[in-house]
Formats: sequence, C-alpha cells, structure tokens
Amino acid sequence: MNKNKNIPKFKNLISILLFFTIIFLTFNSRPTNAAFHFDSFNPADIICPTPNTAKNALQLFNCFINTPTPTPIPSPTPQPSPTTPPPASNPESSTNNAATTTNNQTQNQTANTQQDTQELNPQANQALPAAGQNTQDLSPQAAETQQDPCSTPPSDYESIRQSLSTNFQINLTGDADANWASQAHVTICKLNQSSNLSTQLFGSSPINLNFTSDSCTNLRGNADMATGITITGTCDNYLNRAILVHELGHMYAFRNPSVYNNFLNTVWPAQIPTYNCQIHYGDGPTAAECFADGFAENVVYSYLRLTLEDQPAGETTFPEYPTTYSNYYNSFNTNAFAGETFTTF
Amino acid sequence: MTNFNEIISKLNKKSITIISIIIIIFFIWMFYILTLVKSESGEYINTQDKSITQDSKNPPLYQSPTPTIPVIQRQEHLSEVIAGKSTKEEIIKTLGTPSKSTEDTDFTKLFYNIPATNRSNTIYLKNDTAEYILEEIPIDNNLHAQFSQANNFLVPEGLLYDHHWEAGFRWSVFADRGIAFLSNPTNGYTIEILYFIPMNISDFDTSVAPIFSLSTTQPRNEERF
Repeated sequence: MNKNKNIPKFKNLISILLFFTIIFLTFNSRPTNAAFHFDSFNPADIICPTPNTAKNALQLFNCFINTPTPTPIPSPTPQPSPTTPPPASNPESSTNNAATTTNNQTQNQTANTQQDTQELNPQANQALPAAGQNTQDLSPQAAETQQDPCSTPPSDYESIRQSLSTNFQINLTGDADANWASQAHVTICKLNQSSNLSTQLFGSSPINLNFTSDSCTNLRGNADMATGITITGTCDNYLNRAILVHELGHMYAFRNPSVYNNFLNTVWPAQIPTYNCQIHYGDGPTAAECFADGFAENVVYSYLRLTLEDQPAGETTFPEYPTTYSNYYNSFNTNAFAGETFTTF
Repeated sequence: MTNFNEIISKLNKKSITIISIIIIIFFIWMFYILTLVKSESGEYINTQDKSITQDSKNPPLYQSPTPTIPVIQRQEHLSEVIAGKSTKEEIIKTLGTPSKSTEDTDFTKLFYNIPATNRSNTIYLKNDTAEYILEEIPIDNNLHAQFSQANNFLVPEGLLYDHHWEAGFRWSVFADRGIAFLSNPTNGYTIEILYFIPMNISDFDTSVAPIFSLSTTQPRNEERF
C-alpha cells in the first residue's frame, strides 16, 4: 500500500530529472565538444568503416585513428666518404685554378672546398619540387636525416637548365658550363626549401639568370627588376654560390617591398662588415646593398664573409654573424626565410 | 531498491520540491559552466569541414600571449606642414619639438623620429619656412597607386633614381602637384614621399633633384665580389 501510495511522488521526481536531463543534453552537445581539445589528432584522421547496409547493421564505436601513410622519400644516392677524393670529372679542380688570382679570399677558402665537393658531385637526375611546392622531401628534417635531394642535381647542362626552369622558374642563359649550372641548381634548390622563398621569390614569376664566363678577378653580378640576374666570372664554389644568393636577395627585395620596408624600419642603418654593404665602390653604404648582403650571409656565414681583396678586413668566414649582427640575422631569418636555417651550403 | 523506495515513501511533498529545486539549480549551474568553457575556448570542431576552426569573436585563451609589439605608424599632423607656407614656429607648434635639428649653409633640418623604427621624417627649412618635407612611410601601403587613381590615373612627369633603385624603388615625380613618391613601379608600394612647392619638371630636375641625390639616369648597380 505504501509503495502504491508513493508512486505519484516518485513519478514527479523522475519526470523532473528526465526533463532537465534532456534539456541539458540538447543544449550542451557543442559546448561539451568544445571543452575537450583534440590537439593530438585531426578529426579528419578518424576513420569509421562504412556500415554494411545489406546487413542493416547498427555500427557504433568502431572508429579508429588513421595512421598517416608515410610519404616515400627518394632513396639517397651513396655519398663518397670524406676521405674519398673527388671524381676526376669534378669541375671543382678547374674552378680552383681560376680562383688562384689576386682575390685573396678565394685562396683562403680553397681549404673548405673538399667538403663542398660532396654536395656538388653530379648525380642522376631526380624529381625536385616545383617552386611554390615545399614538399616533405625538402624539409629540414629530411635534409638532416636523409640525404638532401638538393645535393644531387641533374648531371648534364641541358638537364640542369630544364630542371631549373621547370622546378624553380629560373631561365638559365649564357655560356655557363655544367659545373656552374650545377652549383646554381644546388643553391636555388636549397633556398627553395624555405616556404617563403618558394612562393615569394621563385613562385611568383620567372627569373632570368644569365651567366657570362670570365676570370675570378672579374667576378661581378647585377640584378635588375625587368631583366633579371646577370653574373660574370667564376671563382670557387662558395663564392659562386654566394654571389648568386646576393643577386637573388635583390630579386627578393624587388618582389617583396614590404620586407625591404621592414628592413628600413628595424635594421638599417646598421651595417655588416661586407664589401658591398660597407664599401660598394666608395658610394656606399646603401640600404639595398646591405639588404642583399645580409640576405646572402644568412645562408653562407659559416663558410664565407663577402669581402673583396680583404675589404673590410677580418676573417674569411663569419661565424659571429647570427649573434653579433643578430638584428640582421633575425630579420632575414624571420621575414625572408620563414625560420629556415641552412646548415649546409 | 526496497530501501530506496522506503526513503522515497518517507519524503513528503515539501521535501520533493526542495530536492527538485536543488537538481534544477545543479543543471542550470552545469549548463552555465560548460557554456562558459565553450566561449572561452573559442574553438569547436567543424565536422563539415573536417578541420578545427577558430571562433573569431572569442580568441582562445590557451594561446600564448601576444607579445607587445610597438605600433608603427605615420607621423600624425605632418600633412598640416605645407611647403612654402609653414613657418618653423608653426611646425614646432604642430609637431612638437624635433628629435634633432641641424643647420648647414642651405637648410635648417628638423628631424622627427618615427617611434619603434630607426627612421625619421625631415623638414628642410629655408628662411625659417618649410621648403621640403621628406616623409618616411614605415607601414605597408600603396600610396602612389592611390594618388594616381585619385587623380584620374595621373602619369608622373619624371622618373628619377637613387640608391633604393637597387631594391626596386624609383622616384615618381608629379612636379606640378608638388609631390614625389619613392615607390615600387609594379604595385605602388611607397617608402618615402617628398613634398615641395609645385614647379615644372625641368626646375625640379635642376634645383631639387641634386639636393636629394636623385639621378635621371639609372645608376649602375653592378657589384664586384
């Protein structure tokens, strides 16, 4: 009797509980999701098998987190060991002859060129990412844990020229030999590893690169917004590459006035001890030349300080660049290279 | 179960009402708390896009705090200084005391530093009257393009060069308007503006261009290494 007598009370309580439970669940479904952060995986990675409609089955809690499919990385070509002498066909030897000139810095750098030949050894043609496509293959991790695909450019001049055009929108003209073209390819490929440069420099429109052979003493370069880059003369590999990066620095300024303006705001009129920044035919220093030299030094400082006939005086390498001239280094590292650092060059 | 029913049976109407109110308050409190969490997180899963989207109205609290970056902007009231009209007294009254001033045989120069940058605007005075105003533009802009558009796509009377040419900038001179832009010819991005007394272009080339080291011919920008 008691039980029956109290059923109405019990019913009231249950009804109230059910009512508010329904309201709570209805209005709190999204906030509940929001209260948990799915930082560890993307919802897109959740895989739920499609239910078999033929069986009319109700499928619950069968989802699982997809394991990303590893992207295949081109198998590295075996490198010669450090003690292995460079192949006879390696053009380094010929350029070293050219480098024995009055340009003192090139003589000082020849000791380092043995290491450099490992990168410059022409290997089989490999597919490279196009400008604007910064793929996993060229990530810094890949460069460190795998062999850097940039170190194996196509072997012959015509293939290099085509690869430069196809992958980086660089139109190579002039009378460059396979060695110089190979160095240009390695350098441009490495720069293209930066997501910024792949889009803001190589990805915007084609760049003409004209090379005219000449001696090391006549080494000079020019960048023009309309006509592109002209380089005359060849020296050792480091200097050949550095002058190309310097001229590409001008091209980067042409195409990214905002970055140059930021340089004027926060870096200039500070200078770095390089020839074209501090001296530049006596009419320097100029902001534009310091911009291009800073752009280049961010890539080459471990190997080279851009001097001419020992001016400005000092060491041939520039290891203190990121610290002593941190305003330069950080500005380019952040604004131009998007945090990309270059451990090999 | 029996015990539970016994407890229930002992409850009178008043007790049930009180328990119900407590439960209602609990659910309202829970609803409020979870709604607050949602609004503060600013994030929810957009299952349609299969991506995590940000609620623009409510930036997430768990983001690292935004570093304090000084605001860079053009100098206020500089446009009130008119070449050929404004006196030194008026300029100082409008812009305040200059950061630095120098004097040479031709001009007295007043420098006004632009906060958070290494740059400064310069006013060239002759006989205590503004002759030239050289304004640095420290912000992203397309001022040259805007000027051109506002003036029915006016074409510059002269194109001159200085050392910024090596970064892709050249001077577009509108001599009869008394203004010149150091800008990128492709997109009108401007890094400096020169204001002067309106004149014809030949007068500008002979009298103004040398003061600012502007050349009518493209300078040699070939570097040696």
